Amino acid sequence: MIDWLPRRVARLPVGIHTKLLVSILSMVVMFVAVGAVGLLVLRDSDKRATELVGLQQKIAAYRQLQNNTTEQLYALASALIITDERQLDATQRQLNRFTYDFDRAQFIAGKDSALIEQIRGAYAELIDIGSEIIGLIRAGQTRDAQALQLERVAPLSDRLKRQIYSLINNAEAEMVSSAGLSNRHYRLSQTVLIGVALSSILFALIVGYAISKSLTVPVQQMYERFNGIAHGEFGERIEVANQDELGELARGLNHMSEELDQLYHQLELASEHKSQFLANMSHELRTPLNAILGYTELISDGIYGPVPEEIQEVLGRVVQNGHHLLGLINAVLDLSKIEAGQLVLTLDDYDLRSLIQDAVVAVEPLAEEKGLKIQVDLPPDLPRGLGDAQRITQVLLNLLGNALKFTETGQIGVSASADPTMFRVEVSDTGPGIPAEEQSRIFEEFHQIDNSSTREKSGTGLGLAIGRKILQLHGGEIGVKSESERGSTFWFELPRSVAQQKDVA
Amino acid sequence: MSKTILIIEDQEDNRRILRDLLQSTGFEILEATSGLDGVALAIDRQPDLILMDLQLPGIDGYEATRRLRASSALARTPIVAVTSFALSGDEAKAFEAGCDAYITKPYSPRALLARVRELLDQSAET
Repeated sequence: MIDWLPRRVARLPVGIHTKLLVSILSMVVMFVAVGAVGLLVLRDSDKRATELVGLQQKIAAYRQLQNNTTEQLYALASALIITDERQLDATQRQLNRFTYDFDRAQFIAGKDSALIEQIRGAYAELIDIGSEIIGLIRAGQTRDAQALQLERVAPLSDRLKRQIYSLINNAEAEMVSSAGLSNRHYRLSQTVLIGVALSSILFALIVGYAISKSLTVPVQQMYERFNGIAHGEFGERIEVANQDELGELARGLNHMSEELDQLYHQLELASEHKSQFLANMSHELRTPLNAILGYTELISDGIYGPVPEEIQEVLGRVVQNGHHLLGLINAVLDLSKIEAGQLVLTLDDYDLRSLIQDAVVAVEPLAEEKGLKIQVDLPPDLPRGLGDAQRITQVLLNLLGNALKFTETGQIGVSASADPTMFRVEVSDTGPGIPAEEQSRIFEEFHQIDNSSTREKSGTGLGLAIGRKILQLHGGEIGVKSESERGSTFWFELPRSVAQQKDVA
Repeated sequence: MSKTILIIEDQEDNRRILRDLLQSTGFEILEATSGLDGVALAIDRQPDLILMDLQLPGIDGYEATRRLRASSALARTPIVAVTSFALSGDEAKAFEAGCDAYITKPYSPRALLARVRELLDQSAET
């Protein structure tokens, strides 16, 4: 049931609004039902309480009757002993009071009325005899009065007492049974009320669970899917049972996911094609360039005959430009290989100290030509590293080449250090520096500082971008500290031991 | 006696540059424009060194190298791979096929000549 019910609710082809409205209304109906049952129970118990009060009144009236009877009989007996006129008057009044007692008893007697009638008859008789006795006493015939008392009043009073007792007993029995009945009714009502209340609570809980689950489960699923999309997992679908707004949303999400997946694959394919195209292009460009450079070198070497001085100079320019073009082609090839994930590092043991020294030796002629000094500062105990020595050299040559290219006076500095896990290499210059806003962009492809003085410098604008990718493949990074007119310091850090090349997005 | 070098290269200009370079320094040159012709010519003439372009019509340079190595007479002849398709892995593939050296285009004729002499000296010693 745990999953079945929410799924059933989810599948209902109505909106969330309707579902919530229906569930809340049904809970309200249950609530009203509990209230109604409670009211019925209250009314019933009130009726029973009133009944009990009536019975108590009845018993009280009967007891009053009993009391009065005893008093009257006592008064009658006293009248015989104390033959005083006042006593006789009082006795007469006592006897007359019966009428009131009876009217009251009659009013509340209900089903006891037959018995009451009998008692009234007996009383009427008693009043007659009482009056007769009082008459006899007044007439001075006390003996006759006593005889009448003994002969008639005694049996009558016994009968009266018996009848009143039975009246009271009846009423008391009725009260006991009524109280018992009331008790049983109370318990029944209690059970019904608790039952209705509990089933309403259970109903409300189930409805609440089913509704909330039917809403939260798809929301959770969609949340996870969105997370997946954010992490580049396109094309997966979610199955949502809902036929409501959430179902619509989930269908929309699935559709979006598919579209993104298609787009992503198209982009991936386009990127692959681009990289393949660049790789092919650079190959196609190299073939004729090889011929141009080859022939030029052969001419220059005099293989086709002696070459006059002025033509030698022009040939030098051809070779120089050819090599620049070659540099561009190589850089484009490098980038396209990196982007296509085809640049594989050749990981081997290397000595950073000698890599730096070799790179410095390679650029030294250029430095001498410009009259710049290269200051090398390497600790003697620089440890050996594991990585692609050829690619690290490429980065070093690029940084040294840039430093020399942009520096007219002053010097170039190269330093290196090692901590337990990383190498850090710095190449500083006393060139024009790089404005802060350019510093992050110089590592982007084809970016050179847009400035007339640097425009004249030849360069592919790809060296730093390639350097950054090479360092990323090693799990390292590259950066620059610079201030305009104060020179620049390019640095890179790379792990001393690169066991596996990293993914570069 | 001058050494004989076989050039297997389909591209006319590249072939001519190698021919002009090597002839001018006194080598005797043999030329082939496809892998199959190159293998046949090598078996027939037993050159002292072979310059092998890797991108060839028909069978490619790798396959041609493997076939040359299969012939006992050419098992020790230096073979230099010359290629402009500088993708990573190509070099390892060339060595695996049996090449002794790997030169990417564009090459400096002077540097190539130096490498050729070096390889010939090595093979003369052994």
